[in-house]
Amino acid sequence: MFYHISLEHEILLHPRYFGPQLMDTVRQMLFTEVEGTCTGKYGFVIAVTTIDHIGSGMIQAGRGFVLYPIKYKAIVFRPFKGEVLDAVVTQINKIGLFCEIGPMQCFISRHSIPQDLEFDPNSNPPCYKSRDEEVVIQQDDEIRVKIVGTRVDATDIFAIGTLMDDYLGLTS
Amino acid sequence: MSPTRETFREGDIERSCGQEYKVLQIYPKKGTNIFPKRRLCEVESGSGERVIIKAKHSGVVTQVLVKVNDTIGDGCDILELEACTHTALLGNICCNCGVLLDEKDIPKTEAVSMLHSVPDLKVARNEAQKLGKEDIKNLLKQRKLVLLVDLDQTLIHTTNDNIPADLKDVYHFQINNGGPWYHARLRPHTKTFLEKISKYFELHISTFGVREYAHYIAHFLDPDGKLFGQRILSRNECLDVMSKKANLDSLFPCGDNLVCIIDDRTDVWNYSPNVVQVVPYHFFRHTGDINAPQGLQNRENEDCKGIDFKNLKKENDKDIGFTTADDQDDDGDEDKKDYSSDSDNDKDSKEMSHKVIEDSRVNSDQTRTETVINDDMKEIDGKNEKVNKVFDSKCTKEENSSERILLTDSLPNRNASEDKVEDKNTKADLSEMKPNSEKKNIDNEMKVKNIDKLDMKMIEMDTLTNNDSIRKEEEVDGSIAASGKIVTCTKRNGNNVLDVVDNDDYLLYLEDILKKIHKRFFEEYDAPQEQAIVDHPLPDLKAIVPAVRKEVLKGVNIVFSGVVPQQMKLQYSKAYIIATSFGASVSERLIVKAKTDTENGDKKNIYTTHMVAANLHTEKVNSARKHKSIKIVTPNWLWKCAERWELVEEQLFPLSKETEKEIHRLPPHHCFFPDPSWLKHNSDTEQTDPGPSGRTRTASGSLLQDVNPLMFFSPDEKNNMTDEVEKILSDEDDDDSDEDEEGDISGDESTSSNGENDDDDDDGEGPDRKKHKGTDQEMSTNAEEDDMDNEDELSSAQFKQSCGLPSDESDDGESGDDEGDLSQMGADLESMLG
Repeated sequence: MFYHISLEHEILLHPRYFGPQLMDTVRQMLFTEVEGTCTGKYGFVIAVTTIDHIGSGMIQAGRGFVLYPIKYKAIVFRPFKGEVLDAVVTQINKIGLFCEIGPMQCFISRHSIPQDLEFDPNSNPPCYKSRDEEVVIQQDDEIRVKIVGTRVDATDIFAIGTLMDDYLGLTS
Repeated sequence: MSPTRETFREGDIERSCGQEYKVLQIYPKKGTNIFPKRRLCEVESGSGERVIIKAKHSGVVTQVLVKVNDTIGDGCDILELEACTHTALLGNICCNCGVLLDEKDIPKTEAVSMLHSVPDLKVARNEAQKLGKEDIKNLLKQRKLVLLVDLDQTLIHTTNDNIPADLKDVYHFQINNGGPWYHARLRPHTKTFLEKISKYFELHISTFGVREYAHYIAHFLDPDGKLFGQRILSRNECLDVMSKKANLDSLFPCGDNLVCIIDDRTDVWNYSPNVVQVVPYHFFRHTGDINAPQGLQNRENEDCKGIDFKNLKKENDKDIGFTTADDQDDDGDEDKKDYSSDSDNDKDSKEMSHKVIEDSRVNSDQTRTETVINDDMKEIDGKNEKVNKVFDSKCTKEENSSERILLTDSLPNRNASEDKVEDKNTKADLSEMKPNSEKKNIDNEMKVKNIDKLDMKMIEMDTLTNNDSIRKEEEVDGSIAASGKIVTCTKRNGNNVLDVVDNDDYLLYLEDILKKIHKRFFEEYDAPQEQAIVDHPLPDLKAIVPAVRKEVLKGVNIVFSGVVPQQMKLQYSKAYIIATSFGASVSERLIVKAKTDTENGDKKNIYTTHMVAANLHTEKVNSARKHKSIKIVTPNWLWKCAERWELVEEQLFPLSKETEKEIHRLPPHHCFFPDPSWLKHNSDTEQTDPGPSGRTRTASGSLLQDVNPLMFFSPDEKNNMTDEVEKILSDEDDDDSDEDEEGDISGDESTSSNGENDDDDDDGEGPDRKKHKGTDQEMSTNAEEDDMDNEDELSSAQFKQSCGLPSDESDDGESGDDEGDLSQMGADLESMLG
């Protein structure tokens, strides 16, 4: 799910940026350093919406670098178990399929894919399809998945999904 | 597989007054995956309050024990579920139920990573076997087998060196931004080979390159992803850095019965019998296998084969710029060994081409110009009536452009052509014509024979590539023949595209080999089914590949002469191993049909059919000559058979004075398929056997005897030997430092090479000595191109002794006369010994 939350970040700035554009540089640095990253606690930072406060910079003794504490608001994506999300299929194999939910990788085991969909290794690219070929899931298709588990690492979140529930599966 | 039950506990809904509840709705169905906190059912209490009951366990629902409208009380079971056994794990998370497992919860059962691309994804053994069985069923249904394809030196050759940007069939790419540029050259026919073979095999890439590299190459080979798909195994996914064997078990959990492997080296597969070893593809000079595992680099041949683009680039610039005649004359001498400069040298080449064409007119039976022949050859599509023509033209070609046909590594032919360049007098031509007229006789004989279709294929290919540029090639040919590759510059669409004529046609043979294996497998697979035997075991390619190999030289009885060193037991020699692994039988002595013998079926099989001799005048050869039925061939014939897995036409490898020089007594590395039992034997014998280094030394011959038989030794031994060489060098210099260096060493060479022959066969001593003295000069000139490992060591050793050698230059390959000789001697003997 997406959340709009307040976050904090510290920017360490080289003295060469000291000048009339200083604050612009700090803001720019915040965007580049924060957007697109992932923390286990808050999830993926999608976009910084507002910068609430830029604290007074502290010059680091002996280095000349300046440290700005910043408070900002950002849209984050933090998946939780049980959520239903849309994903794009990236890879299909005999053990299951990999998909991407925005920035997050998700794997769906073949045990979590409805029994009526069978793996077809001979098609190119390989796919899961029903016997009558009415439903075919292959690479780049959009599917709706339900997250059954997440693994939260320091800088990444990985999810396990399932298609075994009502209204899950191909969305297109 | 422990069945658990989801039980209704009244306490969970914070009310404990023994009420009864009515089930309104049940959410999961049979087979649904449930996990803690998943909704199970909705119940209504007596007071009309609705509560949702959630799961406490994870697993798959096997049975729903309540129905809608049932009334349940405390302790009533709702569902029966089978707890997840976590058969597939991605790191520490179960792929089926999504539960994060602690270290202790991870099932102890052996897990295998079944996917090429995601080694993290581990599947329990029994689950993997289930999947593996499905794979096999699917493959057999399509009548396919599995083929693991190596990339480097099998299908492509990649270099990091600077090369011209406009080479044909070369792909340039960078793996990391700012990283080194890779230039990958596809082996000729690669794409058609893959396309054709993919009908018979499911193709997997298996390489020691990094993942990005493998995917780049896969993209070049197969832009649509229909050949390899995601079946790409790279260094990143390899379980063992030194061997590819470790991954086999996990990729094919049901056994590798259907797996066939093509690779240029068998050691990374632990000499598995289902490996078809291919001739390594070498295109760029000075580059070996850039992705060979650490410590397993095979530096042999690295510098002596392939095309050196450093010089080539210069040359092409010149070509485009039309250099003046003065420049060329200046270049002439120093660049003689540089093949591309010959093409440059207008004066020479004009004369040359005249000569060559004259030759061809004289020598070919029908007076025909090359172009006519080529036109003829285009029409030929394997029909027998045209076979004669092909052979004529083939022979003509063979004479003129020495190497293009079959004899790819032959040195003397190269000499001959170089002679032409150097001595521009008619004598050379006349002397050349003699062997040519001999060939004419062979030519006639050959007409009667059928040419196998592969030869035809090759000729056709030659024609296509050479057609317009044939004259130019002939000029160039002499000096580059050893590599068998010809460079021409053709104008195409206004751009200069460097078209490299590359005569490597091994993939055509490989295709046939693989088809044979495929056919044989399904013959065996189908056979028992006809008898309705159920559950018969699958045929195993590990047995079929050697069996197919064994049929190649079936019925051939070989006698070696001058091939196996005398102190070595025949059974342990590589030649013997190769011959027998290809199904030939080998005997020590000639077995011929006595006049009294009748045509007895049993006995007929044991008569010698082939005499494989490395020496023209041995007792065995002489006696074999008396029997017309025995074909006398050089060992190169055997190596070629082993390379191609077919009975190569013997006439192409006659034993004569000319061919004797190009003989490789030891098989090329890629022909050798040691089986484990042999390896064991060999390690025993190596210790007991005195080996070539144990030979008695003559005062002057000691140096080269120690340097040359590199093939026998392990790297350690080689290192020891190099040390020894350095020591000897220093000794010698102490003794006769005032003497002329060159004279001294050429003296060494002739005696030592004779010594070598003495060891192999006593009979051929006299003529041999003459021959070697006569050819010393020739051999030394052509050997200059061949850089050798020990060249550096030699020259550096000399430098240490401060003999005044210009040792700096030796690294560039433009060696001066003095230490050129040293490297020649090494290369010389290397080439003689294979």
